[in-house]
Amino acid sequence: MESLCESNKQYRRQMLIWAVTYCVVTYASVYTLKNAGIEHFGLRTLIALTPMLPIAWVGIIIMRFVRSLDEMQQKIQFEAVVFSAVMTGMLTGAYGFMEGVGYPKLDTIWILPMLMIFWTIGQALARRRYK
Amino acid sequence: MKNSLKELRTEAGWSQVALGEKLGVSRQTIIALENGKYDPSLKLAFSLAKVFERRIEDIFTTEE
Repeated sequence: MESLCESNKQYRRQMLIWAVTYCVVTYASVYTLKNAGIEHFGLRTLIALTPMLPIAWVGIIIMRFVRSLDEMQQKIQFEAVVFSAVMTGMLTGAYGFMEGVGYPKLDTIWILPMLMIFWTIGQALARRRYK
Repeated sequence: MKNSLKELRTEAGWSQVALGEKLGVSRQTIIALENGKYDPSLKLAFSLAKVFERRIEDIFTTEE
């Protein structure tokens, strides 16, 4: 069985490779849409969606990492994910109602970074409980 | 739940990392177990009992 330390190192390595890949793919996608003069709507949609491939990949990396954790670490991750879902749901829900009274429309692209930020905060909070 | 993990580990001369490696859990988990902040699953409790060659009820006791 792979040690926890080794799976941690592997996770960090994979996340680094992923971050570089995501930046390159997203930049290439935006650059192509702006400069390549492609007008076909279907093709433009496909190019716009290419950053979703690395996003799906990071989902797999995270799932594998969480499965490699021990039971308490998995519990911490679970609590962090619940915290993230609740906070993101509350914030986007509240802002949705605020849009009804005239606040500017919030771009849905911000939901994923919001989930990630609250997940990180949730991990820190959950870890404190078990110290 | 109370436990005597710290005493048993010290008695055995193992570090928290060493015990974690024997059980396949992180040092943080060992710390949380010893401090009574985390109650282990039945599977982990059996592993602890096996490692220390004790019965589960000799390691863990419920707080009255």
